[in-house]
Amino acid sequence: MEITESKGSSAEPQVRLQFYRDPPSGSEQLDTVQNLCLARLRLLKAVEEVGQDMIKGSKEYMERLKMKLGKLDLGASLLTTSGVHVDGLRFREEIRRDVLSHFLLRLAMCRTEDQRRWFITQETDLFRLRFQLEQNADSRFSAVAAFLSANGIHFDSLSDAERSDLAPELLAATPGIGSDAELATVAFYRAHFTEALDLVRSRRVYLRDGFAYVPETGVVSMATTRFRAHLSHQLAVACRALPYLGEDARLWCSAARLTSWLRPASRPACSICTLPCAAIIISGTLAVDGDKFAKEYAYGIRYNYGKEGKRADFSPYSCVRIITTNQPGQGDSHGCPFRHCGADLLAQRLQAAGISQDQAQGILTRAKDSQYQLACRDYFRAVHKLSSDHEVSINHPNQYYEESRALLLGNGQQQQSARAPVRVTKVKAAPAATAAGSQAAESDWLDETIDQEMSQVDLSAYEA
Amino acid sequence: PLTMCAELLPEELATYYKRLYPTHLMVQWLSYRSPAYFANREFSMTLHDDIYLRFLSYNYESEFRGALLDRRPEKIDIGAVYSCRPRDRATVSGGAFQAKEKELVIDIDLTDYDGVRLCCSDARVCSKCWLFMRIAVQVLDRALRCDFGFRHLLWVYSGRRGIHCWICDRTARQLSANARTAVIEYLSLVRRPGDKQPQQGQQQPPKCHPSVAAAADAIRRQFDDLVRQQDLFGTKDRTRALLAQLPEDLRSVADTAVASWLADPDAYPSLKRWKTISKFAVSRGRQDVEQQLLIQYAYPRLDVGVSTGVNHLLKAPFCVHPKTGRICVPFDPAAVDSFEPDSVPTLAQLLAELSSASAQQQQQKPHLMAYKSTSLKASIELFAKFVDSLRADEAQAADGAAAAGAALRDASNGGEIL
Repeated sequence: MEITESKGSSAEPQVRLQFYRDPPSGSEQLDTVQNLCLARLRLLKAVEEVGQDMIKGSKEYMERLKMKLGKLDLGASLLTTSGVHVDGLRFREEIRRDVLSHFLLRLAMCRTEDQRRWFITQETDLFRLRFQLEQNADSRFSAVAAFLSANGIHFDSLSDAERSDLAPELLAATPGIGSDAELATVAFYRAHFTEALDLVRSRRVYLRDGFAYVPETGVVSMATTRFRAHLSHQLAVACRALPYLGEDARLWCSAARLTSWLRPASRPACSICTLPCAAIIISGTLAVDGDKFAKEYAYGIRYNYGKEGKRADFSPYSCVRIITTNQPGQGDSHGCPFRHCGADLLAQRLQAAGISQDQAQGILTRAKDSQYQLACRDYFRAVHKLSSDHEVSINHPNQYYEESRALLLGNGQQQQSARAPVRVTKVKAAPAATAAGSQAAESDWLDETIDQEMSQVDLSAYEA
Repeated sequence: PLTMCAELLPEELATYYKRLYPTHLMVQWLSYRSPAYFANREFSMTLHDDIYLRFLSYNYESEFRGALLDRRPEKIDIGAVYSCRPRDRATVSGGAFQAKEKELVIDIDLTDYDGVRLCCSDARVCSKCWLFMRIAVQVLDRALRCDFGFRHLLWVYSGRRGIHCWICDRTARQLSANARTAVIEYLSLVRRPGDKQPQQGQQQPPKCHPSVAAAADAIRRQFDDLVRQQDLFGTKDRTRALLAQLPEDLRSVADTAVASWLADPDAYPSLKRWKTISKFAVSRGRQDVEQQLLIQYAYPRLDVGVSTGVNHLLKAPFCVHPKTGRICVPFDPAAVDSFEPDSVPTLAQLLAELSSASAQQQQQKPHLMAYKSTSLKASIELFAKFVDSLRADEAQAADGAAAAGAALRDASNGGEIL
């Protein structure tokens, strides 16, 4: 995958600290996506844990956080400050992983208020730590200044005359400055109070007429506030873009499992898989940014769900319809595996799914005799190790999914959680249809892994 | 003590909404010169028998007026401005219906002063209690204007034992929940019982912030009255409570003084005790201790939850308080010293005034001006002045307003397209 940034010569140090304004572009293996997502989740979980135990911003907090994050997969590179010389290739790779993992998890966490809040809080704490590390770094390269100017952040500085006019107030309101002489050595900035909320909140800044008079040590607070506001806005945008993915995508699990590659506007029957991250795998593009997503794909998705354009009812196609209409063409990924796969390919897939030779033969015979739905039923029994007198008939891909889900979870349990679980659907490289459910075992295993992670994350008591 | 009225009669409410309620001004206020802003505003109404309706919204003044006459609400609450009309919220997907803006509101209730409010407790209110509210208005009005630069503050008597402040400046309306929390925490110096502790890691700075000093100055001006009226330090327990708040280095000396007070309580009334202690602290160079005591005893207790949520509802001005029958009238913070809750008109009083006035002058005065012959006149005129200055400011910022309005419309359209 290529990320189109990090221009400039390698001689000049570059800023590692990210505002995460621009989403990465390019394509990515799904297992990498999944690993990065998990790595970021673990990272933020650690940030949360340390924040619960210790006073945020204190020296001990920073030390503990550095120690904990340093042990994690993604952590060490995030803690490296910009002044430290790193080989250019490695540098780019580390930035890429930082940006990509942030955007992936952002997308995964944008659906519920609790998740958004949690994500924003942890990312903001992480940003604050990194900003402070950059500030404290003993380096000739001022990463902070470079970071601020690169992101168009400009704070209005106070002239010496203004500062001495306000000396008594500044002295009284600013912790850490003990005397007029000391005051004269500190640069002050004037910013609207909404820029320095942390300082306002704790009354550590002088306020007049809506402006905060912030000492240079408070710049971290202002940058953090901007970061938080930016992130909060972006998550809201992503959340608005995603509802149809979020709610309806759950129904699409089985359709998605038929799918190896998603092509917008091909057919509504196969468009979306269930992992929110998977929303990005449309046309093989990594389209993680909410705005971009909104512009380029939301119409299509809304069209497919009857919310846009002629508002046609594109309810998911039943098996009969899939079998009888709209043959998949070259490169398309929809269709019924028993109807549309060649006999050889189907046999291969059945084998890959771990179906015994006998059963596979039976299924192949059914398919050859145009009894596609019976083939599907036999397949369902085989995959779920059901006896041949188990009553089931599959008339709809969604039903296949629901029956399968009910069996795997035990009846009645599938509704236990109000929170939509994050599911990963592994996308195979082969562009043609895959046997329905052949990945059930695999992806269910993945489900549990992430669900477990998520359940650890989904705690109460998140600060606003 | 305020007289309690038995029940609000629907007919009385109908007359009130029809002839006295300043519907037009309310709509002008809540529109901020943008009809869409009004249409996207949530109202809730409490009807007879505690029927509570949320997510009401009205496109025009006529609709709003019609609903008031139709439903005769015992209470109206004002909520946030949403991304689309609240009554249409079911037609957009869940994520697209979001609270966008709302006035920053402050709610202070005398019941939160229990512990220092010694004249009454719980729901009871007397004119002595009201001094706490006066101090609260003076302290907060200064901080909101001078520190935060807000200009359009609507102070409203809640009808029984509290006050509300609606901060209507554009910046205030657009504050995020996080920013609202920050403002309220800046303004909160005394935690109410049961409030959560301030965010960890941010201990009170040792210096006296200029805003705190200004608050202490405002309190000091009225504190003698307060000490006398409440008899704040008159009993053994109250004196002990005061001394317990002194820092270690002052306590031993104070202890000896106290022995004589307690021996002869009549010779040392509350005020004298306070003067002794405060002079003693100041003479030891501990002005901060004196300031801290002033704050502790009289600084306004804020209801944080009401202020921080963008979608939180608050009772609208000019409602009739269902328990007391008094109207929630706006008042002038500069003249809060002369504001007496006892003199706030009740619904019954207004209706009596109205009927006697209309008997005399039925032919001469048009209906719309009915309020002019009642004691509601001053309050409505004050409200009109407030709305006028607000609208003048909005007109001045017309360019900005157009942009923001467009942004809001975009946002709501965006919600529907997506």
